[in-house]
Amino acid sequence: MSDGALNPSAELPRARRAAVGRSLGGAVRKRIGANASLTLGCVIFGTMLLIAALASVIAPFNPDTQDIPHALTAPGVEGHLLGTDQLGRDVLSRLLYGARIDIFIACGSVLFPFAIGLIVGMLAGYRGGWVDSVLVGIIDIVFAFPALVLLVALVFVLGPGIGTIVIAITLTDWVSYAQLSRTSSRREGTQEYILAARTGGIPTRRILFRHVLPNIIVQPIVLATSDALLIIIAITTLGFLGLGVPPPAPDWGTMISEAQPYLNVQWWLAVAPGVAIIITGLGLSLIGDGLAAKLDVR
Amino acid sequence: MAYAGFLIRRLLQAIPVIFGVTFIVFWLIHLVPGDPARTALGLHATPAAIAKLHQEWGLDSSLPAQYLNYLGRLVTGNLGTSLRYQESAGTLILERLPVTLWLIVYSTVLVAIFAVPLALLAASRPGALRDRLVSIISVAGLGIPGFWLGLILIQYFAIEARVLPAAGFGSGFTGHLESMFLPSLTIAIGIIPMVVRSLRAEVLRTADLDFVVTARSKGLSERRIRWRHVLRNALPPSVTILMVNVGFLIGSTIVVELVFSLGGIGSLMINAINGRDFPLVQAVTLFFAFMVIFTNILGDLLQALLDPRLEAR
Amino acid sequence: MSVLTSESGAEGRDLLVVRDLRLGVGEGEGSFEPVVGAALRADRGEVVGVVGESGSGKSLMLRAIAGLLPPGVDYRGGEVTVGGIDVPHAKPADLHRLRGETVGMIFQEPMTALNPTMRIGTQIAEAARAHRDLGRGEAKARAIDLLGRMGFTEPARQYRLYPHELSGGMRQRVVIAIALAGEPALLLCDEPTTALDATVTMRVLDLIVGLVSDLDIGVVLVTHDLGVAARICDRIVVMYAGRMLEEGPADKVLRRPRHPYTLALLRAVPTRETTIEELRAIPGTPPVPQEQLPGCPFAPRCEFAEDACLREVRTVAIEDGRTTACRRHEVLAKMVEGAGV
Repeated sequence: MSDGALNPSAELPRARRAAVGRSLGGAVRKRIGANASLTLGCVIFGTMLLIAALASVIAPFNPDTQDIPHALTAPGVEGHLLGTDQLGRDVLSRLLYGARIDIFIACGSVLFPFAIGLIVGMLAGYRGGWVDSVLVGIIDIVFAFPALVLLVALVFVLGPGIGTIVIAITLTDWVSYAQLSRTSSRREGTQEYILAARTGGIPTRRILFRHVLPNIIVQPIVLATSDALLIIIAITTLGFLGLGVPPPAPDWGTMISEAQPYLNVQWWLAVAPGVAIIITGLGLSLIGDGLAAKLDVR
Repeated sequence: MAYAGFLIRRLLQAIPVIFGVTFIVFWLIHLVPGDPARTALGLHATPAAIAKLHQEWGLDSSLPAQYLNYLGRLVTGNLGTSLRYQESAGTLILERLPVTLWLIVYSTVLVAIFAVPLALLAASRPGALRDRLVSIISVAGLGIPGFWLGLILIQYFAIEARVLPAAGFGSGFTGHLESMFLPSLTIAIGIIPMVVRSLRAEVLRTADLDFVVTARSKGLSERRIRWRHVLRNALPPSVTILMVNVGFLIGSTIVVELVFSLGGIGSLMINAINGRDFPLVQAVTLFFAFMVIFTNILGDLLQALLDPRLEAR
Repeated sequence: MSVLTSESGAEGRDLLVVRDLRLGVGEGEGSFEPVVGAALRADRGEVVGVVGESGSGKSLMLRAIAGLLPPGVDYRGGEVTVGGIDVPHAKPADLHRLRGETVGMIFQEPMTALNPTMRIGTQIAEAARAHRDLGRGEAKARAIDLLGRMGFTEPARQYRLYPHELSGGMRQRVVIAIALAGEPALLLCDEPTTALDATVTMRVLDLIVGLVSDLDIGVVLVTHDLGVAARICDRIVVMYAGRMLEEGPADKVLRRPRHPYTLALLRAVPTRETTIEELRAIPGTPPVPQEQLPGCPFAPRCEFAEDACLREVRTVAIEDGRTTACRRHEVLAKMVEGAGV
C-alpha cells in the first residue's frame, strides 16, 4: 500500500483487475473518453464561470433597468439580442448577471457542506464509539427528509436572502459528505499504516490530516462536482418557488417563473434561462463523470 | 412469519429516526428570527392576537416542555391547526394525499418502464454506440430542472399539440392516468438518469460475478443466463437504487404540483409558505419525512423478499 | 515450438488436446500474451495436474478449454480440441453442447460460484435440463441423486437450501454436482480446494478421485499446491509464464524433476523432514507477461542457466514418456540422482 494516496477505496484493486481483464484497447479508449468528457466539462463550466465573472463587462445593458414601453420586445429589436422581459429589462444582460448570482451561490453552497461534512465525517469515522453513533443517527434523520422539502422549509423559516440560501443548503447537504468521509475514514483507520503511525506515537491530529485526509478526499471531491449541479438546480428551483434571491437581482429560476404567463408568445423568455441552467449542469456533470473515471472512483 | 418479525424489527429501528425528525420539525419554528407569532400574523397584528397564538403554540413554556407537548399532540394524531384554512393540518393533508400518492406511484412506474430497458441496453454491450448514447442522454438529463421541463412539456403537449391536459387531476382511473402523465413524466425524467447509471453499473457488476461463469459453464442459453441469473441478482440492489432516489422523487412533487396546478400536498406546502402558515408548513414537512421513512421500510421489506440471504437477518 | 513426433500416434484417442496454445490480451500497443505455447493432453480415467505459480497462465488455459475466456482475452493460435470440438473456432451452438455435456467446470471460490438467489437444487437441475430433454420432476430427481452422491445426508430436504446456508466444503460439493449434472466426459477443476481448509480439502479430493473411477471421466486439475497434485494426479504438467516447462507421470516429475523450475518449486514446499534452512525460496520474480524473452522464461532466475538458455527454448522428449523444456536437463538429472531432492 505504498501508493495509498490514490487508493481510497477497497474496491479499487478489483476495478483495476477488471480493467485489465477487459480489452486493454477498451481501457485505453475509456481513458481517452474520460479525459475528453473532463476537458469538455471544464471548457463548458469554465466559460460559464468566465461569463459570471465578466458579466458587468460583457452585458450590453444594466440588468435591472426597467423600460416598460419597450416590454416584451422580440429578440434583435433595438439591440436587445434576446429581447426584453415584462418590465422591459434586457434578457441577455439578466441572463449573464444571473450566471454570476446562481453560479457563485452554488460554489459557496458546495464549499461549506463539503468542508463541514468532510471533517465531521472523518473525525467520527476515525474515533468511532458514541461520537460515530450520534453522527450516523443525525445522518439518518436528515436523510429522512426529502432534500427539497427541508430546504424549502428552512429557507421559509430563516427568511429570504443569499446568506439564508447558503445556510439552508449547508444544513441539508453536509450529511452526504459526512456519510462518505465517515465510511472511508473508518476503513482507513484500520489500515496497517495508520496502526503503525499510532503505535509510533504520532499525534492524532497529524495522523488525521496528513494520513487519513489525503486518502479519503477523492470521493468527496467527485461528489462535489455532481452535487454542485444539484445545488444549481435547487437554487433556481427556490427562485421559481419565490423563495430565491430577493428581486430585482436576476436569477435564472425567478426569470423562468416570471416568464410563465408569456410562454405562449415569448417562449424564449423561459427557454433561455432553462438552457443556461442545462448548459451549466452539463459542464458540471461532464466534469464529475470525467473525474470519477480518471480517479477510478465508484 | 419471518417477514412479520423483520417488519417489526425494522419499525423499531425507525423509532429513533422518527423522534429525530419530529425534533427537527419542532425546532423549525424556533429558527424564525424574532417572534414567530408576530412573523406569522404580520405587522398589523394586535397584541391580543399575538398573545393568543403564543398560548396556542405554547411558546411561553420551556423548550423541553414545548417539545413534549408537541410530541403528545402528534401521538394523538394532531398535526396542528392551519392558520390560513383554520382547519386541522392532518385533514388538509389527507384530503390532498391521493393526488400526491398518484404522482409518486405513477412516476415510479414510469421510471421503471424507461430506466430498466435503457440500463439493459447500455449494459448489453459496454462501450458500444448504444452504451454511449444512453450515457450521453443521462448526462444531459441530469441537468434539466424539473420546473422548467414541466413548463416546456405543457407548452408542447398540452397547449400546442393538445394531446394531453395541461393541469388538474382528471377524474376516474383513466382520467387520472391521462392527466397525471405529464407531471409524472416530469418527475421521472429527473430520476431516470441516476437510476439508469446505477442500474447499468449493477447489471455489469452482476454479469462479472463468478456464478455467471458457472451458469455459462453449464451450457445454459445466454437468454436464461441474462434473465434467471444476471437480472434476478441485480433486482435487490435496484430496489436500493430506487430507495436512494425516493427522497428526490417525493421532493419533486412540490415543484411539479405547482407547475401543473395539482392540488396535492406539495402545492399545499407552497400555499402554506405563501400564507406564512407556520403550523401547516411544519405539518407538511413532517408528513413528507414520514412518507420517506415509510417507503424505505417498504423497500427493505421488498428487498428481504427478493434476496434469500436477507431473510435470515 | 517443436511438437513431439512420438506422441502423434496417440492423438486420435485423446479426449482433450491442447497444443501450442497462445492467448492474447488487448490489441495494438500494450497487447500481450499471458499464455504462449501451452500444451496438455487428457483422457478418460486419468487426473492431469497443471501446476504453477499464480500468473503462470494455467487458469486462463483451463478457461480456454471450455471456451470461457474472460472478455478481452482471445485465442491467438494453436489448437484446443475437446471431444472432437475445435473450441477456438466452434459455433455458439457447439460451445453450448461442449459446456456441461463434454466438460464440467469447478471453480476456486465456492462462495461466489453459486447464484445466491437460487436454491442449490434448482441450480443443479437447470444444468441437467440444459442438455437433456428432462421434465422438471426428472431433473429434480437427478439433482437429488447427485446431491446424495456428493455426500449430502438428506438430499431431498437439502435440495431446497440456498448457498448461504451451506459451509464452504458443502458449497464446493454443490459446484461439483452442477459440473457433473450434464454427464461430462471431462472435469476441469480450477484450484478447487484453495478456499477450503485442510481436512475439507482432503475429502473433496477423495470425492474427485472417486468420480474418476466410478464415472470413468477425465480430470484436469489446476493447482499451485504440489501436495494436492501429488495426492491425486496421474500426470503433471508444470507451467511457468504461460509456457509448459515439464510434463510426465506425477511420481516421476515430483521425485526426479527434469526442469530446474520444478526442482525449485519442490524445494519451496515444506515437509516434515525439511528444516527452515533447507527451505528455499526461488530467487528473483516471475517475468511480467508484457516482456517476452526469446529464450527460456525461467532462465533469469535459474541456477543452471547458460547463455544459450536466454536465446532459445525447445521442448524435448526424454525417458518414460516425459518431456522437458530445459536444454540442460541431463546436468540437472545427474545432480538430482546424485543428491536427492
